[in-house]
Amino acid sequence: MTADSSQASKVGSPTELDLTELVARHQATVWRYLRALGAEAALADDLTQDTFLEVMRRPFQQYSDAATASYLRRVAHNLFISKRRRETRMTVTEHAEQFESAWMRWAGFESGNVTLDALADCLTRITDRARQALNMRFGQGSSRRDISDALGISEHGAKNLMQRAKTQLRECVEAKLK
Amino acid sequence: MNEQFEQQVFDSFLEEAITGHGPPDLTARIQAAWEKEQSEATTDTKPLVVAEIVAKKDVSSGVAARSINGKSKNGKAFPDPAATVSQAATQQAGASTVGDSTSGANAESAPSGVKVPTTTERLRQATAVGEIGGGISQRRTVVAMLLAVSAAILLIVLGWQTMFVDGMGPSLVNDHPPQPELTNDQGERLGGRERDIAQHDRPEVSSLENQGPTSSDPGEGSLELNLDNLPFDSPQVAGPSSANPRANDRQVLPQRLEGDAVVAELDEQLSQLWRQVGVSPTRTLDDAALAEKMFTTLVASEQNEFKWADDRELNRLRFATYLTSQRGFASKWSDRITRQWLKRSSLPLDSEPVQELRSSLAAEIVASKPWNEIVLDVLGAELGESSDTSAENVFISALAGGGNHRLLKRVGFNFMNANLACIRCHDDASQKAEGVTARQETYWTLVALLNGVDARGNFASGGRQVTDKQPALFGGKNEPVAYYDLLNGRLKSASARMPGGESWKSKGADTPRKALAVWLSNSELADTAIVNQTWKSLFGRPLVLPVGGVDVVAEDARKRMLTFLTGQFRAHDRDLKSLVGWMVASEAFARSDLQLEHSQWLAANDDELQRIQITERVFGAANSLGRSAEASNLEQSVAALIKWSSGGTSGSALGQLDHRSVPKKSRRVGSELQMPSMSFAVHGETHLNSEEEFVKRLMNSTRLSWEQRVEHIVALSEHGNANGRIQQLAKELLRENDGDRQATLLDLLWAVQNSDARG
Repeated sequence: MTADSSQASKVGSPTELDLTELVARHQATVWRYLRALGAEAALADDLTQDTFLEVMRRPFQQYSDAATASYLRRVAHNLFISKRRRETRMTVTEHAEQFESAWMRWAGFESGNVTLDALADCLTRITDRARQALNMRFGQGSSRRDISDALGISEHGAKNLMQRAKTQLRECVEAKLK
Repeated sequence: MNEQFEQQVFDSFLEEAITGHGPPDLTARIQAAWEKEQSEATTDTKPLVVAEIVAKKDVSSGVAARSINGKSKNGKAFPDPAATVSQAATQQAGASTVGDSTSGANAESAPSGVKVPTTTERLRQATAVGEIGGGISQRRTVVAMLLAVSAAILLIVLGWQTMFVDGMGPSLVNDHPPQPELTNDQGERLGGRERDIAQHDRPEVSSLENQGPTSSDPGEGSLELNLDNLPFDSPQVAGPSSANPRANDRQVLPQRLEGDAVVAELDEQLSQLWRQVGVSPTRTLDDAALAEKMFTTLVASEQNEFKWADDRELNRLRFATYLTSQRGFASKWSDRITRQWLKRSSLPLDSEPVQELRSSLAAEIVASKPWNEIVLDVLGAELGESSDTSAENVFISALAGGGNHRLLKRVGFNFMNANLACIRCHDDASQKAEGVTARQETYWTLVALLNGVDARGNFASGGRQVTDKQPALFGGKNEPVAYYDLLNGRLKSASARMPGGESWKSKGADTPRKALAVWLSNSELADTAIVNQTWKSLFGRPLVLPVGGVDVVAEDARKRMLTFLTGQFRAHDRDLKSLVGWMVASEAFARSDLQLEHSQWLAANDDELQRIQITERVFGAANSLGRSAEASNLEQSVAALIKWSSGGTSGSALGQLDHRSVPKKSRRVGSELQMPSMSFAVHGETHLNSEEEFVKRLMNSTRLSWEQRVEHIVALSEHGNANGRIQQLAKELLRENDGDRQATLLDLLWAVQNSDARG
């Protein structure tokens, strides 16, 4: 993208579509959004690609990064739903707005990097046991039973431990994002 | 549901933070896929055709003719077209060389004895189809080419929509139906604005079932959002029940009548309504009973009590005026309004900001502040970029957040006389839907107008924190839009414009939210809303239901009453006390209750029960809805239904009096049959035809799941929410109804009406 068009984009006037620039600016957002929707990593890769191809087939004029990102997320959402429909005949479109709202709460107009930085810092502040439980749960996909065995607590205790830890992390991240 | 999504999103970030598996760089992959797609798109069969034609030219030079199966008529295979092309190219080169130079090497490549045409001659021959030697096969080729081109054009025109109906992806098109040719009575073609007006009078064609793909400009290859062509650019003319929101209200005021005349006219219209429907109103309360009812409704509290002297004659309007001038009325009524606005919001009704709002409203009622100024204050409050909840911003603070859908629903009921939940997903399917509040576009325009307004819990203080980022978002040229899904899966966008279509900046406000507040405060919609809601406060149901098609009993007559009252309300400077006084002094308020004994109920057939029901619905009897204990909220109403259904049989000692084939919902307690509450006995056992039709439409829709049907019913409620608990109760009720879905939805409809009547 030329410097002129980049400048135009920054001041908000409509710009022509440049694939490389578009992907560079928004692929992280789209990929993370798809993962948040529930897509596995490989599916998120595929649908991210499909999202950008889709918008390139039907060029639109960009008014702002925020509007473009919102549009891309909606395209990604629809592609995800179509995929799920073909697999399981599930209809979830009525929750698209709510999901978008939930996304905006955590990622805002960014790609999520700020949230992740905040989360990384907040993870250092929870107890070692809580961190271990979350690592096993999210990092290794361990069952609650495995976690409870590893920590020497009941399954119910493991659930409570992770619940409290996540609540602390949310509050910590929210405070940082303010 | 929003909490669940927030947790889901947070968990995904947490997983990435823990595992370190972030988004890969897909740039090269996407670029390669795009380039491949582009190159495949540009590949076509023209060279093949040229080669074929060149080969045919060679026929005349002695090469065998080409047949369909690729073999010559003499059975020999044709040369590969590519080879033919290269041969032709060689020949061309040879020809040009022969023509251009005396190079020996090139001259040798030309077959001897054959006149090799020049490049120009070959191309002319290749393209001059008519000049190519005759033959059916050549004409077939030409015809095939023409057919292929026509088919491609047809596919572009027609096939576009088919791809996206199957959900292969969204399309961002400037969707609106093609403009038909419209003429006036003189047969003259209508111009733009006249056409808009005439089109607006046409009935809505969409329904739950028939929402097909909207047409799009077939020639539109670009998906540029041309905001100038969106329907809201054209001023929308509202239907008969609402005025043009841009009209100066001073110019459309009806003649102001004195209070006595307003009540007299209201009573006259009520009499006509009862005659039209053919019901006999219940007996009029005597003076003492009526005075006590007025007192209890308007001012009663723990600190005061009422005593009516038997020898006094009650002048209803005078007494009502007296009561509404009391401080107790302002206090009681501000409590009702606050509850109506904020019930089941994110702030407890006993929280400090809500109590402050209540006090401030009471003071404004005492001071007879025009209601539209109160609307302006409530919706247009200063929020700051981030502020704690206060009495000034509590309406927004308590309801905003989560996409602002809950806020919009309350705005709809209280300030637009509309159930906006209906048009969130589709145009209002009611045949009698009119005005801007019937269109899905309106809903999303309102969402866009509230873009940047948010509120969330303040964990530290336990209250709420409201944020307003509109000055930043809307400060420049590019304003955020709201994207929404049409029923056919397409994506559309809505910009921040007034429901009437004009720019928000035309309202002189510095943010869209404030512009909306200004627009609403001057709109007849807000006046109609307060009249309807006040009626509902007094009589248990609104004068006209904000959703069309559900309760249509003498709907036109009731709409006329609503219009009349709204007009007088505006003419009386939007004085709430006057409005309440008229209603309380009317014949409708003076009706006694309908009494129905258990045996009478069991013995009554459908027609008799419906007669009783209609009498209440047209305010010929005091409303039984909302007066029982289970009406305190929706969950309790549904739980009561389950209780009655689980014990219901017709095998009682009184069974021989039961003329109905379906057992009524009684519950056996010991040897006694316990009758359900009066409201259910009257309104739950039988239903209006229009209610049954409404439920049948939901049942007939193939798009909707059971949960979505439940959501549609619950969406009729002002405060109800089809959350997990309600869905669970609905499933339980379905089991108690032996899987009868229609009966269950009708039961839920009663639960909604019952809990809403309580307020």
